Amino acid sequence: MEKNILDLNEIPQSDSGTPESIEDIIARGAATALESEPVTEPEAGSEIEITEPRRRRAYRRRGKKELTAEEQQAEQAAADLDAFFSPDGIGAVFTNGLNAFYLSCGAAPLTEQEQPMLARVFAQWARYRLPARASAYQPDILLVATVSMATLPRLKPIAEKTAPWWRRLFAKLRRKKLPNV
Amino acid sequence: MSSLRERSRRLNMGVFISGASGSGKSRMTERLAAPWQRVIYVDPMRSFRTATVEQWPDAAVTLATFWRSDKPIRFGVTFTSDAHYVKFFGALAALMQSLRGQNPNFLLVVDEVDLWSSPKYLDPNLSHIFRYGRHYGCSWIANCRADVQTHRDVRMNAAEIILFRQGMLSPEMSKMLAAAAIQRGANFPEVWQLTPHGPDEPALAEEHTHFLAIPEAFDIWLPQWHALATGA
Repeated sequence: MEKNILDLNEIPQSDSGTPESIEDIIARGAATALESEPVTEPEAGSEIEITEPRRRRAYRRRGKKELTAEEQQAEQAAADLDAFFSPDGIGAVFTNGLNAFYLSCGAAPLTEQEQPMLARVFAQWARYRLPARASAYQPDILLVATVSMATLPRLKPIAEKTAPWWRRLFAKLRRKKLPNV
Repeated sequence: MSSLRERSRRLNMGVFISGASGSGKSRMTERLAAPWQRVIYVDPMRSFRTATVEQWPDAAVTLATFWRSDKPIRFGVTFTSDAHYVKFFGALAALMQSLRGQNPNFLLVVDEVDLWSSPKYLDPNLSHIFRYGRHYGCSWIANCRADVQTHRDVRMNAAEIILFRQGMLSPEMSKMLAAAAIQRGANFPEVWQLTPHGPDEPALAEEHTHFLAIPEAFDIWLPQWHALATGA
């Protein structure tokens, strides 16, 4: 007979007062596991809480299902970007050690002065989309060029062929009279 | 030599390994598991060469035997039903908690941990094991393809994080990597610049070539892991 190395006196007592055997504990743990609730919400202050866009948090808070026209437009823009960055598209998005997101486009690298704006746009998009879709980008993600604002004119001919989202982005940036646009 | 029971009083620890397919994380897992005498593999994709059980009743019997025996045992579970994994984690957590102080020292390897963990979801029993397993004589290795696919409970409770070639890191992990680089005064290559540790590469993966290790340098951390595994 196999040696039971446990001291029976120290084995926890079941509700009926009899020692609970290892088999009992396994059965209890298995039965309880099927009933237990999964950890579904991030803890306050966790990474998810920080990175989840405000808009989505607002939806969740309000329990809202219908989107307003503006929200639909934002969703559509995100969806267009998704299409643009599909694995077969010209670009790929990834993060470097500093959390910046870049576009791989085949264009020449450009000046640093004009850099942050588009990086911010992509960062916003990537925070919104990437966590759920990370696996799609996993195997072969490459950096080609750092995107700066000066890249935009050179990107434009390529971009117009590939994604209507870009045209809207250009228009929006011009309307906002952002520097270097 | 200390008994397995005595070893369980040592500080156990968790390891999180991530990397793209074929980057070398399974080989690293095998390397880290090698010195352990008692190992449970949760192996949904049959990545490891070990005897596996596929049905819950068999797993329950094997688990009971594992818990009772003081001998070196390695076994894996590759269930056909997700519910069986949930039961298995539940049973494991219940055993650890109920028999606290009497648990054997062992290593739990959870392959493809993202099957039970996403940024917003984590199996509650697995969460308990990752967070408190070290108090119950359980060290663990969790691996998956990308850290962003896992709950932060998995990553944040790991004493050592090993990153193989992959396309991206979560912002949190990026910051940890940057902090470790500054602390160690080293320039880490980007994770996507790492060389996949394939069959043509040297048998043992090399830090900064095939993988990055944080917070401690791999060579400094590895002896602690070996000491834990062998009770030295």
